[in-house]
Amino acid sequence: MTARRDVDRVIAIWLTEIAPESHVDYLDETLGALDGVRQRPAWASPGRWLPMQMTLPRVVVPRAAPYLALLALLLAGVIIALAVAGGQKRLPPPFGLAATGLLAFESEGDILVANADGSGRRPIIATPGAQWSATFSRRGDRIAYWSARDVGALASLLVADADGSNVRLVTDEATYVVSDNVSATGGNFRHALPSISWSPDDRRLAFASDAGDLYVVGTDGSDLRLIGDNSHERHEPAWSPDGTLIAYRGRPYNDPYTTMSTWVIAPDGTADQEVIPAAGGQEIDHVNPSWSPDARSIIVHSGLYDIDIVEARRDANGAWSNRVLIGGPTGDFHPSWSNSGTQFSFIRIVSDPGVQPEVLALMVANADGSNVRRVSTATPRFAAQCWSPDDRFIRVFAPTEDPVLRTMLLIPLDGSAIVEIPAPGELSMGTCSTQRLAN
Amino acid sequence: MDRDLVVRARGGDRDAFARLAAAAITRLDAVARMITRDPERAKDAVQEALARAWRDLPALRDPDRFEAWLRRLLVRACVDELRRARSRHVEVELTDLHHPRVTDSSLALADRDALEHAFGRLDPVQRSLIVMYYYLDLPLAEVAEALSLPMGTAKSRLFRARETLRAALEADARDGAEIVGGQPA
Repeated sequence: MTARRDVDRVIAIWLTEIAPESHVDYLDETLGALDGVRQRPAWASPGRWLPMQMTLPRVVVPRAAPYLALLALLLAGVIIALAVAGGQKRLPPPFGLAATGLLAFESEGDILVANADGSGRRPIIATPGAQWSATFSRRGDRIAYWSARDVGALASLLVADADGSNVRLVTDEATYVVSDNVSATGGNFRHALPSISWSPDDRRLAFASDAGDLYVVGTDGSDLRLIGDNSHERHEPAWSPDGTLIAYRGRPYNDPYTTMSTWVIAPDGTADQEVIPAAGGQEIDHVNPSWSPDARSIIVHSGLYDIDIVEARRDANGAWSNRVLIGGPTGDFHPSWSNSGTQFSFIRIVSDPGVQPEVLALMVANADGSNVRRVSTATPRFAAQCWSPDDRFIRVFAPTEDPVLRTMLLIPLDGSAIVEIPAPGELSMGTCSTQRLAN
Repeated sequence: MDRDLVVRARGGDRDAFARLAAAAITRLDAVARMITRDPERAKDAVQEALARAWRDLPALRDPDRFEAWLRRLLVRACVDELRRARSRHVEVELTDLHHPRVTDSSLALADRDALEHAFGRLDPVQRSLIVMYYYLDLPLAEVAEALSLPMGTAKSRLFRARETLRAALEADARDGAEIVGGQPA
């Protein structure tokens, strides 16, 4: 800890020393150049001029709601009749292996899907403003996502059917202020990458606000609850496969940097417990704790300088212990359980310390941390990764020549060709969701 | 920062904007020089940032955010400037840039050299992160905002930039120890 603070102090002193004190002699020239620059009217930036009453509503409630409700009832009746007559569509189990459906991601503020071979790329949610963090329900029939109509506005949590139809507001209260930047400067939504986690029965959602408040809400918007006390921030919730706990990343209030630890809490707000303490170092945000399908294990990355893969494991009595699964001098990040629970993947720095840019590799290990192997020569980015429901490929984000752009790679484990899905948006980086289908 | 000046400049008052620019330009230039490592590119970045600020000021909602907003424009301009330079394959000048202040700090010359070299190897975004976090002393959230990065990405990239500087300092310390160790007491 002392060494770390010393490094910080040395860097700060050095920067102060090298800061130039020279007199700037080009002010007049700069101001003179503005003669040719006209101010852009405020109305050129929608985020600025849209009247509030236009920006606040997230979902238009039709005036003909009673008629629509009646229509919905009739439709439901037809669906039930069809189900009885033709047999109900089979849904996959909420956890474990399943068939792979569509991949969801964000691009330019819209929610897109694509097939696992890269084909069929199309928007399913393309409304004004920005949508992001699309997350399929456990059974793949719905999708939850965030939506904001305007920069600086609160984001709303919405649920739609898997094809983007039937959008319903879950909540726009107590949630997210996306950004207070002005859109004229490319105002962005990029900090707002909250994860959304479905309960195993797909009836509730867990999410955290940017302030670190953890909420549970019914997917129909009912029973919104703030859970946990005010002892620390809660981020990146992940509902356990057995439904009894929500894992999350916790940190003290007003601590911007150093002490992220891993916690679990019951959905009713009780039994809040730290299961992996902070290593006192540089744990990184956007690391959704990854549950094994048997709900016994949570893996995250943690560590001061040599980042390790750490597991919290609960025994049959519910008691938690933790251990380092992948240790040593390597930097290992973003672990993710496979759907079978027999393996997990992670991202490793494979270049020498200090080499820039770092070279990263996608690694896979057995459940006990043994048999670590690199599965592809492709270079991923530090970002969320996930296994396809059938465990045949791992989805990663990868850099491109342009540091602002990235691409998605579907890296198969059988050595077959990598599928590339180019140009997902910046907002895609925090979420990784693939539709589960019945086998 | 005078809020009234921002409001007036936002309404098209050039004199008000000139006063804002005059108050900010020295600091902007210093930051731009540290990020770009080149006085000419720094000047270009500052001018670009101020031109954009003037052009887009009417869209600034909150006058109190002017300073942070301008800083963001500057950092983006610096990164763009370096990106353009790289695409033209122009070598960025790394020498004789600064006129270091004479301070009573305890930094060894070797530490300064190690940091100088390591800092020069960082990419523009990492340099921006280091300058904003350690020199401007901005909270990480504001640093992330200025670079349009998610908080986690900003943290991880800052961490890696810092690790590069730390590794350079440690390598320098090891080299120093070896030399000292080789000398007769």
